[in-house]
Amino acid sequence: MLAWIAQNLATIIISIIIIGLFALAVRYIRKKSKKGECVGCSGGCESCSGCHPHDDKKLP
Amino acid sequence: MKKIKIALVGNPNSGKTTLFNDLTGSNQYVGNWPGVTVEKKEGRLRMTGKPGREKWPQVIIVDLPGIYSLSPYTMEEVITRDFLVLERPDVILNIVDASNLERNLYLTSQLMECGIPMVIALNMMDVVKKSGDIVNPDRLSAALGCPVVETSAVKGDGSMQAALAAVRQVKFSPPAPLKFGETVESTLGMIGHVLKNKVANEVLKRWYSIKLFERDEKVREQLALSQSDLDKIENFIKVCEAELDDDSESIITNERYERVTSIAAESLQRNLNKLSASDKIDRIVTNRWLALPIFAAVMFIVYYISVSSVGTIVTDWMNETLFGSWITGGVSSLLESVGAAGWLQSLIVDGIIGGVGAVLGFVPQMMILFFFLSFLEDCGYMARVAFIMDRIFRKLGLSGKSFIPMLISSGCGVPGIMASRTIESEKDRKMTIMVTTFIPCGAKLPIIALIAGAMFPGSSWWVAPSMYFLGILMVILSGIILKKTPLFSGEPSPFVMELPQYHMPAAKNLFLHIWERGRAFIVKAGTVIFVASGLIWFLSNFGWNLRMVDQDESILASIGHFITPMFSPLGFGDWRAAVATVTGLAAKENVVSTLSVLLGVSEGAESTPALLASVAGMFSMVSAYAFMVFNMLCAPCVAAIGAIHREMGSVKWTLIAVGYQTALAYIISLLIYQFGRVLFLGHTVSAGTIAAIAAALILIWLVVRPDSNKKIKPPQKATS
Repeated sequence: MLAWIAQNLATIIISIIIIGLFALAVRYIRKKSKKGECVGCSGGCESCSGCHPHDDKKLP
Repeated sequence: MKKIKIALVGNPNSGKTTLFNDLTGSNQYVGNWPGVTVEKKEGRLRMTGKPGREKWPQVIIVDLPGIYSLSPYTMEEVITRDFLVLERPDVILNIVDASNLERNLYLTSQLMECGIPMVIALNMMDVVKKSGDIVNPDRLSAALGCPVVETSAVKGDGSMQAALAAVRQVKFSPPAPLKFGETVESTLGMIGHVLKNKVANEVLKRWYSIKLFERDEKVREQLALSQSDLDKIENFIKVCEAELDDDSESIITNERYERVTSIAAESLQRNLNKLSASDKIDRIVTNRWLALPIFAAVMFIVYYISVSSVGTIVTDWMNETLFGSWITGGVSSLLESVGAAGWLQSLIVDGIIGGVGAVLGFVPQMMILFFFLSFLEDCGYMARVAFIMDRIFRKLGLSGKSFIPMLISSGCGVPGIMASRTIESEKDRKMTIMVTTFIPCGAKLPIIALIAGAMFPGSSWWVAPSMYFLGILMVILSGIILKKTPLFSGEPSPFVMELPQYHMPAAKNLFLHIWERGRAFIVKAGTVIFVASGLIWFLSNFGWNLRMVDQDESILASIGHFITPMFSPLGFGDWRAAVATVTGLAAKENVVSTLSVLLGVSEGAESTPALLASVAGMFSMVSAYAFMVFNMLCAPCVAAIGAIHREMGSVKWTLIAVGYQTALAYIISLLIYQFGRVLFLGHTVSAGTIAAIAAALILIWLVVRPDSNKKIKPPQKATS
């Protein structure tokens, strides 16, 4: 077992890093979605409220 | 210290958001046309003059959508009025465009009736001085009864002074409302008497009385008056109308304008002799015959420089040297030297670097395109384009108002869809939402650049501009077809637009636009594209038994083979192209990253532009163009579909919109491929060609069939 780990140490470490980065990216997307924001706009929509919840759209 | 809420209120395009950004340090999107801000936004005032522009948490600045009056017609006007009347900010900072003083003061006269302390920011003073006009702020302040501060929000001049004046003004009384004629005042007094048990605040009572006098439906509903009270009020109004021989709304409007005109005349000295530079430029740019060719030439040059000439040089370097050689080569060597497993090397190099790198490689082209579009927008040209397009759109039953969301969509479809809120007519609004994403957004640029570079090397100058003009053509075609259906029939919305003065855009704003868009693109590449590339790599390297297999036996291949027949008549019968199209629904850049992963372009990419070469092997010129057109016109990304759903307010309408876009994309791609293969590639007529002829005939019939609902009003002139 130890020999296998030693033999594949580089693969294991890099895989963990990749899985970590993948998890971080998914977490970022989920966090944004939960806040009602999106990461799907590439036109500088960070400053646009297009994807945000419209709390102030209450018509009289 | 008590929290102070300052409301920024003013006419559309008077510079509210620019001032808001300056005061709060925000980067809210600023456009040089009305209707950019459609929701209120809040930010904390940042004090200048202190180290690091420290935040001053007690002062909240609220940026409100621009309005012309407090009698709302559109959704964003309702937001502004409700905020002022129901939420009651501590002070109003009224942004007045000094270059259009009289019209801006019309709103000011209504704000004075809200009973809220007010300060006037006399904005665009640099434009006024340049034109040779003179505005006397002291006289204006004396006439209106509130402080007036000169500002130039674009340059940042006077912004902080205006904010500080607003903070100081909280302690003082609101300005006295302008008095109307005797007959109107006595009617308002009688209406006020009816309201004595409903509204305690005397100032607000006057405001409500005026609104009831104007027969404002929303205020009537809000006050929930008894029928007898409503009858009494109606009688008072009718007596007044009979005496002044006009309808109540016009009476109030005329009385306001009389007073506003006299105030403006006292404070403003016009330079009548000089024709402004803007007027001189407009004589050519908005000329009946020259306007369209100039617009076509401008957009052609913009797309040519961004995608085909300067942009290509930088992108080629990014793709070939940075990602193709340095990063891929470096990472491959590193992984090999540490003894990483083959599959892991493939995941990182082919999957992640291949997918993310393929998209990032197009960032320079996108930045150059956004630089030009931001420049045209900020200098005032794009506002003219909406005016120019109104002439054409109106003939087809559309409104120029629909073109503003389309201009915004060239950056991103989501704010473009949002901007449709400024359209009063529900039918026109829905139609605009359905067609606005036909204009290629930033995310579609990598697809255009990829196909142009791969399939049309040396003659790609026309490819990118053709996509922009095809988008406009599809908008017009859709307008003609949809307007003839009962769902969208009706007269076009009126379009009155104020043309801003031409000016050299502030470098700060320009680079802020580019930076915001570039940053968003890179963040997306590092998150959505990164995850998608990893998934695509996994699905294209593993079989249903979760063991590594050849790509043709992978999970993705089996899914791809299932959907490919749908796309075969469009010329992209390769399952990898079909899968790329579907993954584009998550984000349009995914089309490029998916092709990059599936074509395994990182292998041996050191010496050749591998992605371009691999893509060139997949398509013919005609099928590549059809592929590009389909991806431009079909259902947009999930973010835009979400925005369509929110703005349409129903699943049914969202499905209609997405269904229409995809169906039109399919038909146009079918026509391009089927006719193109016969005309340009010399292929024989097939069943697909017959289907294309039938589709073309149906399309022509839909366009030329008579419209039983057609009643077009004469075009309304824009005011300059």
